[in-house]
Amino acid sequence: MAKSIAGTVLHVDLSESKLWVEHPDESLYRKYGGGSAMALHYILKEMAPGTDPLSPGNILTVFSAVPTGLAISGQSRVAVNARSPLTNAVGDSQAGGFFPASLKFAGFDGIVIRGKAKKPVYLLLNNGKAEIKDAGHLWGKFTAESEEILKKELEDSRIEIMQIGPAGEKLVRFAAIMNMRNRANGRTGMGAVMGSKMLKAIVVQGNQRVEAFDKQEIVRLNRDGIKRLDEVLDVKGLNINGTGDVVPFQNSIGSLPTRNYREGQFEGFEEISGETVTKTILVDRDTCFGCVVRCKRKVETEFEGNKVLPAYGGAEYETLATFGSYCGNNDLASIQYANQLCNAYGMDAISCGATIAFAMDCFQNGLISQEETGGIDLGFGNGNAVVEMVEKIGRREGFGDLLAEGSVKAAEKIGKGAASFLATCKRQEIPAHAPQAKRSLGLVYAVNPFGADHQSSEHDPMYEEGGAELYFERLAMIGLNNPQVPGTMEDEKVRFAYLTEVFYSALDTYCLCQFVWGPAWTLYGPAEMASMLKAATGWDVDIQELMIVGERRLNMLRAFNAREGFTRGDDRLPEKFFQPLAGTGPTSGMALDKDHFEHEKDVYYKLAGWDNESGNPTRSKLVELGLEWLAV
Amino acid sequence: MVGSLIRVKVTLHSYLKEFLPEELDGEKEFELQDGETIAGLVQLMGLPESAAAAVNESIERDRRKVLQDGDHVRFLRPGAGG
Repeated sequence: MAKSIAGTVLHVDLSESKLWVEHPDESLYRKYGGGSAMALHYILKEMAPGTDPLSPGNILTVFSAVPTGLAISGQSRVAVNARSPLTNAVGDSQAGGFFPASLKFAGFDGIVIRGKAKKPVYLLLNNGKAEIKDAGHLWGKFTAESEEILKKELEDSRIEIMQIGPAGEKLVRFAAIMNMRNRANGRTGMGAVMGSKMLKAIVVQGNQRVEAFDKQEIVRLNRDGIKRLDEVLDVKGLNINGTGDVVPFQNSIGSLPTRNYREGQFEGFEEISGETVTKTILVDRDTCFGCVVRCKRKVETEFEGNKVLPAYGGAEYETLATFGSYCGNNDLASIQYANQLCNAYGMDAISCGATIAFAMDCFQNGLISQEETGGIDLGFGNGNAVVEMVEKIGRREGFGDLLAEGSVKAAEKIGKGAASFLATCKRQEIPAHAPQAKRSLGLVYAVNPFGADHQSSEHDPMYEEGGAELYFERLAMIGLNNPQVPGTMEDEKVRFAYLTEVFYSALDTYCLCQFVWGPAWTLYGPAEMASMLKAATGWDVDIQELMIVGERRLNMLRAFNAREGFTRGDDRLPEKFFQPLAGTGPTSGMALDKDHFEHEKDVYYKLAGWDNESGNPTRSKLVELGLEWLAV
Repeated sequence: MVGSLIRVKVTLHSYLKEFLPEELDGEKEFELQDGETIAGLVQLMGLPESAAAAVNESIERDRRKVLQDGDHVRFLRPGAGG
């Protein structure tokens, strides 16, 4: 077995209170890498099509990957998968922190969870052993409260905990799974699946070492990374101001969603920027295991007498935008408090903020009244209302109970044409990058198997003329040699979308951070990623193998959807993006074109080797990728 | 012959702030020769070529763009988000 692999997968049946371990063959790790590809190997083989996402039949997986736990930046990530209760498609979410590395230190590469416990439980993993423990005393607790209790009763302050908050218990469809109280496996409602299984937490403790085949090469790469912190300027920006560093750039290109994507620029962008956070409320920079980038924030402030605590971190770019400009809200304290509530209740801040923005749009247009909202004035720009709605959603209380279903289900209930205000793909709320400004990202929002996502491909500016030489040198390594005219969407941009999506898919398979390892602007590029994996395992990994592994995962995700009846028709953008954006800036008056968008899909499916009519993987593509067991 | 002068406000964002003295917090007004371009300003300030520029809150990719009196120029890190 390659040195960096624990070699053990924990299997859990909560209905039967049974635990067992499996020691997969090394070839399985090489084929699937880890992460969601490894997860789908189990889910697709075992879970029946048509399984209700909130039923005991859904399978929830937690996987690290081959390099997780090594002493190098950007390797401590964990993938959580299941069928999504938000989208009904495949669910996928990624998070960092110390939990992922600690899962390996506890002796496990991943966990496959079936069934439903009769009462609240948690899993305790310790040095290759596991047990199911009572969690009755934790049920209903906020994430920081549960963490404190567990550390006290287990008499170990170094344990790492992956857990749901009250939102997951109440099956909020975009509930997250939290670790460190501020790292979220946020997207696609994996917290609700965990809640449906009555599984409150997974606790890991242990001191097993993760070794590398070529330790010296890992040390060399790590030292290079430290030296580069000052040289790779985009990463330096991340360190200084966190992901919120991009707010002014997003605004300048008309890509900052404002008032539920009515506009692409926000007049209050400076108040909500990462720079303002740094200047006014930042108390510390935080990191994930082994990472020198330190892009995470810890802030301290107050909102309406409520303390915003460093323990709950600080809002990321997406959160600054979704609770900020998306809601027309320039009150930074309310955004940070909304972020804290999301982390305490355990909710995806993107879906939560975007769903509130959708409700605000309905309110502004008279589709819902103040009486229906429980007396809350849901007009755009009301930071107090944003905070109140987050709490109501987390508790499933009043109007919050409706919004806890996600914006698509809420639109169905509201009726009166509310669907025209939706900003979703495959029922998942769209992150904070306007497709009018980032055209290839718009395509990826639509075709991505688990719904709209901004971390599933590289963003357009990296492949546009005027970009840094570093971007182009690295993109050339994956076959992209023709930077495009800014703002355009020719067939070459579709190729960029597809090839970088495959590369990002590899990142999510090997559970590597997309701010450290990537195809353009990050600390390390594709060649170094291959070197690192080779040093970790001793396998003769090259860039081509990375791309095949990424393509394999993408096809597995897509195959999951195909058997649930998803087709090309589900790869669509909301109507509002085909209407001109209002407001100011370079995207004002811009609308996407439906015929062109369909052409982009034709080109994309051809590149992927998928059937153009159904948009699904062909038998020959699955066989080519060694997935003949999925070909029907 | 000396041409007329224009005044432009410059705001530097992200790591680019380091290209001005710390006490200025990334902001400075410049008097430039009429006809000065973004490229000229980048050179004058010693900024990296990869810095994105926005004039009056809109991205401006043409480095030959001639600046006007009263313009507000921002230099930014082109980022991906997260």
